[in-house]
Amino acid sequence: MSDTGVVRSAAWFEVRQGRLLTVRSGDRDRYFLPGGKPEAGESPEEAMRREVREELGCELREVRLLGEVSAPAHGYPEGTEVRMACFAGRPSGALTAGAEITEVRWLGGYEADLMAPGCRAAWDTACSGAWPGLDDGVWQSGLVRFNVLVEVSARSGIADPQGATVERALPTLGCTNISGVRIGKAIRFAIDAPDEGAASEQVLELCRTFLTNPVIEDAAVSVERAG
Amino acid sequence: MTVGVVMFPGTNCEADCVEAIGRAGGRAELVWHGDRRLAPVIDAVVIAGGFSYGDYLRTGAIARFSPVMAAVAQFARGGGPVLGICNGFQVLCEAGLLPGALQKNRGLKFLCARAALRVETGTTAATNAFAPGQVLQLPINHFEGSYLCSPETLAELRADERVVFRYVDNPNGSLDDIAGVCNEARNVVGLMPHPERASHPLLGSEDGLGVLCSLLASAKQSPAAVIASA
Repeated sequence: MSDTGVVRSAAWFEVRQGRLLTVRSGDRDRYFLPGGKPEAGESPEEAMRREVREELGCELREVRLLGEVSAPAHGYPEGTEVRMACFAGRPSGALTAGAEITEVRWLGGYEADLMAPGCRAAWDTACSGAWPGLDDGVWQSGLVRFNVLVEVSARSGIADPQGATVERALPTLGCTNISGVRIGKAIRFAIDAPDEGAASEQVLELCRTFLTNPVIEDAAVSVERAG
Repeated sequence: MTVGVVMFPGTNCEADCVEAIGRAGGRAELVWHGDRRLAPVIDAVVIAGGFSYGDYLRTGAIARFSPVMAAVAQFARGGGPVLGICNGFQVLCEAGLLPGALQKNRGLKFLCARAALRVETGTTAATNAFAPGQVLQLPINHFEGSYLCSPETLAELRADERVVFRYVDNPNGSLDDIAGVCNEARNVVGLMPHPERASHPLLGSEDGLGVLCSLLASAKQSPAAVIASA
């Protein structure tokens, strides 16, 4: 009875460009490593291969065990633990989501809170360098996340009727000391780029082609490294 | 002559356009924004008014990326007559098929009124049935209808007689009273007023029919209809 409260599973651990391959099935609220529980008579590796076939429609070669992690089993009664054998392997072809998979997603480290606990434990273990043999290169995507704020406003010299109307209303509130009211839009998003220069360049191009109409609008862009 | 009336999510003047095109002697067919090609039978295109994609970001800004717009652009490049009405005008400007942009009306007023419009040139796909100087009574119904372009563009538009319509009494603050412009090849025309809403005596004016008749007439001469879906 020693395994009461323990779920055993086997998973494929695949990182590319610093992002971890995860899947979400049904309406689950977390992302999991591709894999699952061994069926009767199945070895962990066989279970992992079968699950990967079902979930992602591919075969794996050069499979090897990286290690085992333990974590609270997500979606099970409290106190249940998952012990997950994690394998590395090379896929035979393209990944195609199986019928039960709602979403296939490559999660970056900054999205670790979207990972189920077992998945997170595997990620943390790998990041700590405890699984030798994983090429260091796969960890360094070279991408950094930046938070972007684009402020769109009417170009100077171009009428800003909203700003003018608000400004005209201010004296009725007793505000006679406010001038130069301009009203615009604030657009925020995150961007992953090699460096700030590349991020800014891409954002400016996006402003020119989509976020603003250069005939009537100007954009002020700020790009800050995400904390 | 079959006119494709382009519909985006939020377009709301397509039925009026279809009806008016019928009254002008043409046949109209709705074209869905997701279509990547125009049907081979399309001889002219109308981009109808409304609020494409909820006018999110800017009027016409999202519609411009619809699959159908690539087909419309190709149709236009081939010389096919294209008419953008109201939101359709805004879409054509955003798509770069027409110069300039439409911004909020002077005084932030939504305008729903009858406007007198002077036809400035009879040599475009939407005005070949008119003589320059003719005045039309057409409804306007817009919030972002104030036309604006750079001084250089304005100089070009004037020099090439590409200002197609001017308001007799500027209702919205448009630069140089501009109500409609055309592209260099004069086959793409956009205007803020609604010709389709002035297409029956019951509507109080039939002046808009001339715009649609012009479109049909230029479709007849256009070499582009065939190229459209190539």
